[in-house]
Amino acid sequence: MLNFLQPWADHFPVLLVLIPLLGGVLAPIFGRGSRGWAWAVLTTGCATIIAIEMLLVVRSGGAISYPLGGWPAPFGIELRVDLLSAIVALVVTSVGWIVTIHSRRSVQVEIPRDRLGPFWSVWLLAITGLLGIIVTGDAFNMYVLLEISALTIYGLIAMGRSRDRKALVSAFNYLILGSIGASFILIAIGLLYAHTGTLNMSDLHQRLQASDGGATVMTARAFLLVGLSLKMALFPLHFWMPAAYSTAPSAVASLLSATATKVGIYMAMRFLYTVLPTEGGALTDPNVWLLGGCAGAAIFYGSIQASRQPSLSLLLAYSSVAQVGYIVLGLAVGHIDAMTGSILHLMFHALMKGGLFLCAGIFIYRLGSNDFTQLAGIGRRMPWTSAAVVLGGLGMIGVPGTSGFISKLHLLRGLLLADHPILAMLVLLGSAMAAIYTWKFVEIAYLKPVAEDAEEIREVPFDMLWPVWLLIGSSIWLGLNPAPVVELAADAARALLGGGG
Amino acid sequence: MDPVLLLDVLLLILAVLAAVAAMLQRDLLGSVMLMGIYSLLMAVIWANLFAMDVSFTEASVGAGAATVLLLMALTRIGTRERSGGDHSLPALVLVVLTGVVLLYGTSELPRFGDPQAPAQLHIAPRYLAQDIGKVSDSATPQDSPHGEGDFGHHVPNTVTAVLASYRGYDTMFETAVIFSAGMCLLLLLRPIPRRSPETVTIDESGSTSHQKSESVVLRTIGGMLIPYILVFGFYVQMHGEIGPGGGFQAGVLVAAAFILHSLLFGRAATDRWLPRWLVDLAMSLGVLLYAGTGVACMAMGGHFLDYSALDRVHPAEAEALGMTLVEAGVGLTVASVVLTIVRKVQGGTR
Repeated sequence: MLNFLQPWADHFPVLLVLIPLLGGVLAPIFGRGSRGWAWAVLTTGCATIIAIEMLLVVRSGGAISYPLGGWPAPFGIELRVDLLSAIVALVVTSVGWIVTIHSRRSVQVEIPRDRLGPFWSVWLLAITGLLGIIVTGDAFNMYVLLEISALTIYGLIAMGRSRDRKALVSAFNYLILGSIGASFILIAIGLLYAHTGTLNMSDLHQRLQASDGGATVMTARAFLLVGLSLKMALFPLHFWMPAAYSTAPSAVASLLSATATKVGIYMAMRFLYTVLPTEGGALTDPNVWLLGGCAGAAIFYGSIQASRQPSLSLLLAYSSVAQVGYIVLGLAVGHIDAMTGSILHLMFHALMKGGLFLCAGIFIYRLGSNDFTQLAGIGRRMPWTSAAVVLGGLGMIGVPGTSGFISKLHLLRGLLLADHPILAMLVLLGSAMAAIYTWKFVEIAYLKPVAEDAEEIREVPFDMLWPVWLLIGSSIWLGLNPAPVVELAADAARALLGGGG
Repeated sequence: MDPVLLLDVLLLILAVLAAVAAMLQRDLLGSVMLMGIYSLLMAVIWANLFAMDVSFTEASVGAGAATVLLLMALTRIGTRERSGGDHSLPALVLVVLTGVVLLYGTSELPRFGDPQAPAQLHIAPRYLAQDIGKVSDSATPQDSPHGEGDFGHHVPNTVTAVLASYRGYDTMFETAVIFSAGMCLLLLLRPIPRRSPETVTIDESGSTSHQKSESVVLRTIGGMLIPYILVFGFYVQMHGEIGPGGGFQAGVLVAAAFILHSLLFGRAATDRWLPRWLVDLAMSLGVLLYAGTGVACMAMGGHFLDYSALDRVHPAEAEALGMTLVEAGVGLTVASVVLTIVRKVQGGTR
């Protein structure tokens, strides 16, 4: 551990949320104009360091509990960081940091200069909300932080309007759907509180496990499933996502695709396995079928739609619909290997899709849009960016040597061991379909001739390229050296399914 | 039949009617007014359920501030609903089904006020008795000078105890939500000039010339009201631990005084009293004060927001000091964000 952090080691969970919060609150003061970007990089960088240290602490010493205000749980609010939350926190902070570093130029182009202070403030507050959701051990506190992340994300998406007026519509649609999702979650938390008299997650779990449940808990579960599905964009409640991600400012699309839906999935894991009652650590059959069915349909539908889209942003967004399907599939089945695959895919997909959306943003930065008609022959004109897209696409397919292979391998093994051969078939089918949409880009970028009237364009500067290659490169590197990460994810999965660890 | 129950049922029916009417109303001005009525009815319902703090907040924020903000938005967009009228049947079926599921889910809940309800038995008794005590490794001095209880019986309003101390972390983020809303508005709203008077059917901002004729009466009476509103705001701010109130309501009240001032005397006059940069700064300062209090507790050896760590600063009343500081932070942010939103939505007149 870094020495100067030692005295603060006990406070890591709260510091992880406080740093971006203070960064966001101070951004309008310190981050006016072009300084805002440096301020955001500094803030997210500090948060990343805390997240790394926190993961090390949890890895060696087990879950951390932090009593806010010095009040013991369940009376006060408890922050609780176990291996899963530490992993997701590290994914959110590190990818958030890299995306922030990348975004200086694209934000300068896409956001009016006099709004840069508020923009970076809202950006940091969105990250605050996501991190707060991850570290909290209190159901209502999770809802409060969900409000912060949701509100700020609506604002961020709407800022895409200077490039595409449709951003306002897609942000408004997301605002309505997101608010419905959030109020469903709140209704569920209210019902659970009325049934148990507590809001602390582990206390809730104990008391729910001991009670007979009945209509109240069943209704709470139904409302939670609908609300969370909206938040994580699980088919058939995904429809806000492609519009939102393709019209948002390109930096925002990268940040959201890598972090926001992931946090939605994290919330689902938390609520389904560590708050709501389980049957010996597993979901009951109707739940498995419902979630598994939606996830399977998501893989199929998302992959088909992805190969029919007219622009790279939309292709990537529909591919995300499919990828959410993979993660939820492993989550639903509840087998240890499948859950490991889920957690691995959550990490790897954040790296790959974050990097891919950065590439989509780079095309927008250079060409004004990333419609496929514009991208003809782009492979020769912007070789580094195009190569990164191809490598990221290989990861989406799950080609051996990429990290996507590792996560899908675990997912497949888990599905087969849990006796779900049909769902396992769907995973393979989805991978084949990912090959189709990746090939679509290869064909356009490398095999089509450059349009004759196309303007002369160059590759983007190095400071936009290296964050992309860091994300894509690390996803490849983790595919070649998977052992430590797989072990980490397996431990997290074991802890989540109640096997200790 | 129990007269209170009768009143409840009547109020609830009225609230539902107001909500449905607000949706069906084609004139947006009428819609906003009906939403205000709905909020006021809800405030009375909360009061009837003895939730005084919630009632106070609903009245000041829901019926007061939200209505004013919506009215001001109407001065920019006009009051005519352009499209609409297509009522989708599947949507109605879905909503009704959701309602049925919700009724089913609440059917097994304990009756209102049932002393045997889990919510009354598990945590609430300790909140009411205020004898929870800090975790063992906290910074609290063992011989607490407070006397017995978590706050030495200095916080008879348990709502405030829960809000500002037991669950103070939530309240910090509620304040951050308000701040985020203000920031999103600064991010999104362009200072577009107000529409020409022909398209504006209502004009709340008061700085246009045609209201001058009434202004003598309005200015005199309104001007007299402003100091009282401010004093009431400060009372509500400082008195939250004893009666209903606290930073959220006080912030709205103080903002209301300044909004009234700008409606009566024009925005330039208000800006002289309260410069714009100060309002912008206060938005951040409020959250900073809240979080900073928590950080100070950490620096003095306690957990985040463990006010008893402030013992060195203010020995006998560390908890009270902490709660006063964070409530002040809430008030500051709420007041300045409401003022900023109003200013932003009013648009540029200069």
